[in-house]
Amino acid sequence: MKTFTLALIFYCFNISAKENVIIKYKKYEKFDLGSLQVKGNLIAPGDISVRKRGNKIFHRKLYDRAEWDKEMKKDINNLR
Amino acid sequence: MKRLYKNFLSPTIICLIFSIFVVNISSASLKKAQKYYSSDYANKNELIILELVKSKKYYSAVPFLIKRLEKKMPLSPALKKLTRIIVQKTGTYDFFSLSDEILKYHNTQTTNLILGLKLEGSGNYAGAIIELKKIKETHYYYPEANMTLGTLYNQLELFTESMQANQICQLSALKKEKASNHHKIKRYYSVLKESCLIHIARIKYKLGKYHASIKAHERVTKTSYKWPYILLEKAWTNYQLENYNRALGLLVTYKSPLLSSYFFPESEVLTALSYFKMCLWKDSLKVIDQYYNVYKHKSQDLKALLEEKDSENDKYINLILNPKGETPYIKNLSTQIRKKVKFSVQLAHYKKEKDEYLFFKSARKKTPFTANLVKYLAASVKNKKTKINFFAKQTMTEFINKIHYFSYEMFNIKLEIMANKRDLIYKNKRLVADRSRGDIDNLSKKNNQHFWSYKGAFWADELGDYSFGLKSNCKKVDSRIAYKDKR
Repeated sequence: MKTFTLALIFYCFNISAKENVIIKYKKYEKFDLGSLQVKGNLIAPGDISVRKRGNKIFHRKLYDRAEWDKEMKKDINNLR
Repeated sequence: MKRLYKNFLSPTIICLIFSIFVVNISSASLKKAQKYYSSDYANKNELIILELVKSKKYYSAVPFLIKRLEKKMPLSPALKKLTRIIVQKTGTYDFFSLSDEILKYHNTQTTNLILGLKLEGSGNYAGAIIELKKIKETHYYYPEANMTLGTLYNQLELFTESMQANQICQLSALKKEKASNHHKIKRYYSVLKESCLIHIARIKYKLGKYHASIKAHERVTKTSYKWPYILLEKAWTNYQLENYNRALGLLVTYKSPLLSSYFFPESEVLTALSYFKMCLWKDSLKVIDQYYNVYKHKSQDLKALLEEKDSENDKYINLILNPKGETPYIKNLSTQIRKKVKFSVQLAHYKKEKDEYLFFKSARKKTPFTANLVKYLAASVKNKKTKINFFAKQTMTEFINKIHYFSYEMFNIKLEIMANKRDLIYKNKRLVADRSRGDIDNLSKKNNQHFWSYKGAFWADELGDYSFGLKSNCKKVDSRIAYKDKR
């Protein structure tokens, strides 16, 4: 019982301590981008440019004769 | 009168006496064969085969030879010779029913050929090569065995061996052709010789040796039955050499009346491609349109014919031998099939076997021997007829499939032309001319080729030597300059 009473008192003190905290936010902050510096080399071109590309033409695979193997086989099978 | 009597009767009498003599020998041999059939001799099959061969009833000897070969007993030299004669006269087809084991056991050069062809048909190329290599130079089938070897080596991509085999085939066939007196045997070797020359040209084509391929093709004479077929191959070789004018000239040969029965959808595709490569797009598109107009009807006619119920066993034989009443296209296709070696050889076998069947069927005296033969021959004749019908139907179906396949290829060329045209417009360019006209300056010819201008007629001796004289139209010019020049 004694321990419970002590814990309750400690809890009440703790709550009252939290209620006293006042949080304040900055109302205005200014960033000077010009004065910000980033370390490294500048590799981007000075002005915006678009390189002209050649049009890609897709050619169809037209019919081509690579060999006469089927005809050769037919010749021997059609001999008799 | 006396002189006339002497001149007319002497050869007739000699002929009559000779035929009576032959018929007597023939009937005597058949009587002997019948006698042996009912005997209990251990070698009765051998004796029957001998008598049937003597009486020239080769197809009737086949079942007895098969029976004898099925026995695992060594063949005598005489029977080996009879086997060769029978196979030579009747073909190898009937003997494919023998097992590989039996054919290997006998190991004669004729059985080696049968087994080699059988294994080749089943796709066992290595096994077929082993069997065919056993056939010796002196043997009747030596050139054919080498031709088959050449093709098998080519399938296995062994080109040096393939070339060697085809060269052996060509030389040995030439030698045997010269040595033979019989016109049919001469023709057989002549076909082999030309086929092997064509195979040499085809292998060189595959290897990219186009000039050598043309040289080999040129050794096939214009009188050869194979010649119309190789025009397309020669055109392809010239196409690969970028000699499009020569390719077009070779293909235009098919338009001559003499070759009206030879039409190949592939030749139309190659014509369109040759024009396309020369940037003669209008001509190319014209060929494509013609293809659709002409072949659409041909394909429909043929499809209707094939879809008809073929309940008759000899529908296609009758159609090919007698295409009266059919469209000109079907008639020409029938002629094309009729000219094929396989069709004519099989038809000859069928007719001869049918004659033997009718001979035994009409025999006055019915014996177990004749009854057995009639039963066998009836089944075999029916089988051969089915085989010929199948071959004809297969060729026709293949033709329809080719029309459809090349129709797709034509469509591809058309799309490519359209893409090229669009590309020119995007680039603000155009081709140098709308249509190039023929000129002798555009003709590339060898020192053994002469120039004669074409005056609207095909001359038989000029066939296959034509060339176009068109200038390539592939130079592109600025559209605005071309427009100004036009104005």
